[in-house]
Amino acid sequence: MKYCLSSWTVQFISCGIDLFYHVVISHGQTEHLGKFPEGSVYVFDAITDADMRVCAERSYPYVNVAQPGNRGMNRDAGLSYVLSSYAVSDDDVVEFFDGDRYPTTYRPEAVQELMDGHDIGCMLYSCDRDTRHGRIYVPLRGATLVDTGTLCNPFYSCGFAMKVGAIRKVMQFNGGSLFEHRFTRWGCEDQYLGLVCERQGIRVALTCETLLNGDVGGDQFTHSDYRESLQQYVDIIREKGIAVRNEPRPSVEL
Amino acid sequence: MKNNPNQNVHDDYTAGSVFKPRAANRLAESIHYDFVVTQEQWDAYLSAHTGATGVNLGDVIASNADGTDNTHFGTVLAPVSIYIAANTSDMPLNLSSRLMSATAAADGPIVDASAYADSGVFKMPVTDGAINLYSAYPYTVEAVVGGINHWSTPQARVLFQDAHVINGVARAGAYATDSNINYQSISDCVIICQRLVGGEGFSISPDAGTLASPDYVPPVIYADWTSGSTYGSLHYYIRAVDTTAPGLYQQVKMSVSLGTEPSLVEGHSTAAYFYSLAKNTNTEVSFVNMELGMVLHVYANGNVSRELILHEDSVVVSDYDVTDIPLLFDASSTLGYYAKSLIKTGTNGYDWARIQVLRNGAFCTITEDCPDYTLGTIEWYSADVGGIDTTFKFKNSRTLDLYRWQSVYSVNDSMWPTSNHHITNSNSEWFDNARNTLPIDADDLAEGIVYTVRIHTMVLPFPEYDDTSNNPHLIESDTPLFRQAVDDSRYKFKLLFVSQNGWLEPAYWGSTTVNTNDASGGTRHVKVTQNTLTSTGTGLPVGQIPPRDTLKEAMLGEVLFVKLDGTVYIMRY
Repeated sequence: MKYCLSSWTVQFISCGIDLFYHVVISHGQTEHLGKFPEGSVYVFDAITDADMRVCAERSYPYVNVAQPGNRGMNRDAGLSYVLSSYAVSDDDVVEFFDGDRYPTTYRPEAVQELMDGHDIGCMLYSCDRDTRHGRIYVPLRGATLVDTGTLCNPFYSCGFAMKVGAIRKVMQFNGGSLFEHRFTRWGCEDQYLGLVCERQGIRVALTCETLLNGDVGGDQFTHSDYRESLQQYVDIIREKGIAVRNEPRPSVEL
Repeated sequence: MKNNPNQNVHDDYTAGSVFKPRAANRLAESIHYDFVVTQEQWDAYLSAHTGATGVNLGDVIASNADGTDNTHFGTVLAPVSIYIAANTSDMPLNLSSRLMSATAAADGPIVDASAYADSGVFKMPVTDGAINLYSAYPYTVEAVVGGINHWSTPQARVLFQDAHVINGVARAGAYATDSNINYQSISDCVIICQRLVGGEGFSISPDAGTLASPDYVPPVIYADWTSGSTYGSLHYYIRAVDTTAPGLYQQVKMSVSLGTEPSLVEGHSTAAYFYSLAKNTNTEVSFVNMELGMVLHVYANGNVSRELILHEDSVVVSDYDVTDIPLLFDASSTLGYYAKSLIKTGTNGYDWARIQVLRNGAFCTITEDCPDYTLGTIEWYSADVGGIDTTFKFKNSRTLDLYRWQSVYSVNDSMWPTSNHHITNSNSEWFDNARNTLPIDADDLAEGIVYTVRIHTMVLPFPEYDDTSNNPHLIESDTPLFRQAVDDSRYKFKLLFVSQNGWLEPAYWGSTTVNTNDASGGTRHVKVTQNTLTSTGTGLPVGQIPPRDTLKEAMLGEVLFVKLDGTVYIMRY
């Protein structure tokens, strides 16, 4: 099912507003299933009876993947569902959410306006809380253009919107997937996506127009295998010959 | 350690069960004892011999039911096993004459050990015992008697008077200091040996190959020697915290070796009570964090006697002072009080530190890992690493665990509390490891390898003090670690990267500017975020250290970094 801003239906036709699709990866987060935009495609890698009951009762489309834990692969499974089920165009947008990062503020019209107005291929959604080191200033309205060409860049995939055209550019580099599927542990699949966006000339911005529940930052300290993820990250960067800057371009407020 | 040799080793015993009283008593029951001194027997004997200041164990064994003397008693040929089930408290026990003699005689000694003697003198080495003596309670022995193996007791204070070299040295044991010991989390077993008269020295050599409970490792071993004629007694002390759970515990075999040269530390105001570990080929010291499974068991020659949990790609650096591990002994009291702590002797405080580098199961010489320092007299295990030019090389390793040690220091009542004492978090009462910087050789780093550096801050055992009734004084303390912010200048730890071209500026999160560390004199370093460990399972409770606690990790910081195209990227700090 496609999500349409019903109150903007007429404007869709007259103004050519892009369509927003939504992919939610959910793992044991049944209680949040109804908190995402209508029409979200849920991807379960450890589906429960409760998950299936909720999806059946509410007619949620969902994908059940067999291998648990690979967040990038799971997002790609939802993306495949969207691309094969709907007639999407390059200007349409696919939003990706983690199952516990439901939007607490949701302004897709403002997001689209920013993406179209500033040629943003990928818009990262801010979280309610941000305890990362080295915060990037993001205004309450508008967005900040960020540099994802550094090793530990600010790309995080718990909630972001991406133009289908930009998605296809990344998939071209990755050999058919948006995410690199070799990241099987927590972490780094998003920062690697940030590097690929930079390489493919995709502009990435950060916005508060849509806010996510929770905190960005600090999770790395709760995962004891983070070092393995980092090593995988470095290995793939070197394998692909991706250049990494050690000094980011200044962020630009849009 | 060996189990009781008089019984078959039970393979089904586990590390956790052996030291529990019930299991220990099961072991005891499996031993065939030739004689058992029961509490009733002991009480009756004392009632019949009021005012006794010493008791011959043989007289007790031979006594009548009402405690009166029985001069006619059969003789048993050595070797024999004797179990003292009674609490004999501080009554000195005589273990010669009536109990055992090198000559056979009618109506004579209980134990006929004539086969072990030659012309009335015991001829066997001290390790071959004519009597295996076990006790459920502490006991005091009047004199050293050759041929007696003092096997383990949960709490034994064996006081020998007028030690004689020829008679050799009795065995002592390693004991858990808590009957509910958890080998996965508590390291509280102590072996203490003191030799206070000249003659044969001794070493402590736990025999790893005969561990009945392979998971058990004596966590901390202190050894202390002194010499001189000041003391006329030979003391062995094996202390235990819990006196309510008697039983049979494991024993560590100790051998006697010649050539020990104990030495007094010079320059300490209470030199009579502070001693250094003598450098001896058999000297060994361990520092352990049982919770981390890390045992540093150090021999004077650099060998390691225990199997260490050390992965091939990891390095352990322990930054501590091996020679200053005194076992404080207050000689003014015949009962003996002791404290255990890592103390920098001298008057200048703990203003320098010594490093040991453990790589691939072997200790490295300092020059191997830190090539740029200069120093004066070099001991294999004690080397002042020096100043900022010293760098650490990972070589083929990817993980470095660096342990820093902190200890209580105060040559005053806080070391010998005569009453309940509160050691404050005043900086003057704590020894800190003054070294808070680790320079890393950046040229040695391999490209594309994610390295891990973990900074562990350890708090060493606490001094304790018991009165004559073995009642511990409560010692409360606030370690400054918990009262200071972790980024306090005193406790912060910095990593620096050095290349052949000088200091290397690391990049943080892909940027040389977006970071939270401080630049010092133009040199950018990584200020390690250290997290205070407050869970009771892994660290110290905030605000208070329980008395008699042993090694605990107070803070842990971890840094991950990688070198790419010559730039060092800090990925987590």
